[in-house]
Amino acid sequence: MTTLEAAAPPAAPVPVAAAAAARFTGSRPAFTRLMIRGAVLQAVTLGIYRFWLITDVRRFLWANTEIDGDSLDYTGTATELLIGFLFALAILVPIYVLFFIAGLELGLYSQLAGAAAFAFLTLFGQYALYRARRYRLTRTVYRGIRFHQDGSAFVYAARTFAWAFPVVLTLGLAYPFAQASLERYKVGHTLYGDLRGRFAGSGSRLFGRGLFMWVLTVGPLIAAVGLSAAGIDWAAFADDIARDRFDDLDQAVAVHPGLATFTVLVPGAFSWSLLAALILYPAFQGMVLKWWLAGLRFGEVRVATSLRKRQLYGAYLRFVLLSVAITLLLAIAATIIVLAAGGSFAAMADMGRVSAQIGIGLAVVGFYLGIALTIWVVWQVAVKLAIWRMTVDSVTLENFSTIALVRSGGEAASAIGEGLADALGSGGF
Amino acid sequence: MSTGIYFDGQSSVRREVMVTLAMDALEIASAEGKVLARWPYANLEALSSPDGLLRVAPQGDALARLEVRDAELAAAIDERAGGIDRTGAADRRSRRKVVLWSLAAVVSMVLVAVFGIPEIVKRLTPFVPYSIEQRLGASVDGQVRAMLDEGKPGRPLQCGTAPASAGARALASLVAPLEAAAGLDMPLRVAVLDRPEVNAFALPGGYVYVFRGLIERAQTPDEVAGVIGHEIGHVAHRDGTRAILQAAGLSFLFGTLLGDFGGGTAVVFATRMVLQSSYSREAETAADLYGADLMRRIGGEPRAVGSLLLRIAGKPGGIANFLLDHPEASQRAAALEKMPRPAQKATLLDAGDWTALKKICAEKRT
Repeated sequence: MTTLEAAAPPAAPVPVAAAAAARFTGSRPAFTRLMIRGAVLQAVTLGIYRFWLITDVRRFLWANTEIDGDSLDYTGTATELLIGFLFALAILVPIYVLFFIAGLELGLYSQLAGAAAFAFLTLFGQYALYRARRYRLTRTVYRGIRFHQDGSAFVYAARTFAWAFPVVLTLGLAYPFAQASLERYKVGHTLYGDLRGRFAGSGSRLFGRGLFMWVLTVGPLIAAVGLSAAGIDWAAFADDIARDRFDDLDQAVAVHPGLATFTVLVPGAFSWSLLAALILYPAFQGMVLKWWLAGLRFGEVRVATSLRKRQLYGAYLRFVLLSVAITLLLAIAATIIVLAAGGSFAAMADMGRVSAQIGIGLAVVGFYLGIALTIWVVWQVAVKLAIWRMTVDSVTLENFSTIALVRSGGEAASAIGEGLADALGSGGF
Repeated sequence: MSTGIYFDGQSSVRREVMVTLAMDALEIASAEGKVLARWPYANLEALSSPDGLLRVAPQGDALARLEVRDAELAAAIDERAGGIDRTGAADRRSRRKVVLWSLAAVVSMVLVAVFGIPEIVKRLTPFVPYSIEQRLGASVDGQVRAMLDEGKPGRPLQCGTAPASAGARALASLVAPLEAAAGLDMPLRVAVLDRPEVNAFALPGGYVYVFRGLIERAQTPDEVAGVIGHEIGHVAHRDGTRAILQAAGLSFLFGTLLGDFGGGTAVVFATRMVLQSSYSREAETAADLYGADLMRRIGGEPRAVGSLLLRIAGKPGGIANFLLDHPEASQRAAALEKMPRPAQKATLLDAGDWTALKKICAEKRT
């Protein structure tokens, strides 16, 4: 019998700090190794390995996320995910077959059926997302207490559906309010043990902060459409179209000069919108993330974050530079190989042999795959891991002492939601 | 040192505890010496944890945890509890099993895709009613025309649409004996499209399209008739419907069952492309034989397609597309060479009609 003596610890329980810091302790090289191995195994198993990879990634991220000195614990397993996925298949395969038969039956209307299927599956995807969230929360343990989620996935899916209309109709202006409403539902139904969460972020605050981004991206497009539309005699134009007077655009422009402005202004504004969206995306993501963190409440506990938008820009910039550099290197390597073995390639191609063509085709696919996998790994490390790390490191939890009073609650939920979300996200619909 | 951090799974209280390694179990006691938990070694497992920390718990759904930072103590626990796998050897073994079985599953799925799906589809296709095939064809036809139409003013995509078009009449007299000999269950709709490529294709529902480029490069009416005969073969074999069913089968097999987490999509896409091209190569060979037989029955030259193929394959460029899913030109020509000839050679088009067909896209169109 071995007894390891204690150096008289202070009387339990240990007091909990009033404000607690969060910290990420994971190392980038370890994560990169995980990703490279995962990417290769994914490729050779045509994706079956993903359940193990997802579980590895979560274990790594959770275990290295430390709050007030104690790290999170992910208790989910790959087998659970696999079973959840198989359950989801059992549900989705009949639906898939039904849509396929409907597509054949409807013929001309198959595009309509396709749109209906898309709408249904998107809605079902939201349902799956909510259940997947439940799975993830119930597999997250902190200080021996499990997170969990109540509320109904159907209600959540219905809410996302209801909010889709105002968001689309207002060209995105209603997005902050939709987001606030959905987060209120999600966070309000999230519990840490017996401590219920609450979302205090307001839609109008996000609206106020993000309005300038909306004006910069969508504004010019609206202005361009409005301005050029005002210069066209629509009644006459519609009449001409109805009588089929124009063979092509040039003739139409000759009769209605206002169209010329339209064809120049609108594509121009559209390109601007795309460019602005691309440039503003990190700022947008950072804004929503900060707003979300600041709105989180668990009892008396509230979250403060020192996250800066420029940190996100840094992550995306590193990703762009790294992927350009890696692609260039791979392209140079491929060029050298082709130049070295070029003679035999050309000889084979000259013979017009199908086998040679297939060989070259496979080499091209292999090269493409190599680049795709490498960029995927760079994305996971430079963007995904970086954002997780900067977010965790930026967080301080105020009034954290109240967490000592939490009692356990909630049961582990099944992984069907994860399976559904997985199957829907990747399915051939 | 013999302390650890203990969470009892009932509340979030964090306790510093004394850890005692007894004979058959790990004992956790408060500072005052009160035993809080006693976990048999046989029942212990390690949980995910950051580097330098051992987190153990009894197996099962219980949430109580013991965290040990002291390396010596952690090693001692590891040594006693078989369920703890700190070096990760057991984990690596199980991973290897997963990867190997996944590979076996992939091999079996590829085998199903190569041998199973074509056989299943062959047996399923006859059950698809013609009415459905025609509706399907009409919808695909609209999409294909929209895709091919360059929208040049005054040049609609389809040639020979003018009233009393000589080219259209010539085309009809070339097609009529072929259609009669084929005895299809649905009407054939053959048209010439104003495209420069050397190509022809059939859609579900009896749509057959021949490109202007092919007619320009053809030297005899038999060559054009042979190509149309080949496309009628696709219609007769219902290859369009088969291709759709096969694509659906493949997309189900590789799209739904397999996922896309990191490059998986690219592999799946490449696999599908290779398989689909192998299906269509088989269909092409069958259509070649069908077309040659049709030509023999109407007194045409069954080898004409072969000479056309060899002529266009001889030229570099422009043909790669055609070659990808068609068997090698020389192989096809050689196979056609072996087909029986007609007892008596008929004239498929007279010189005037042949000229009219050649000029079908030069006519004024409406």
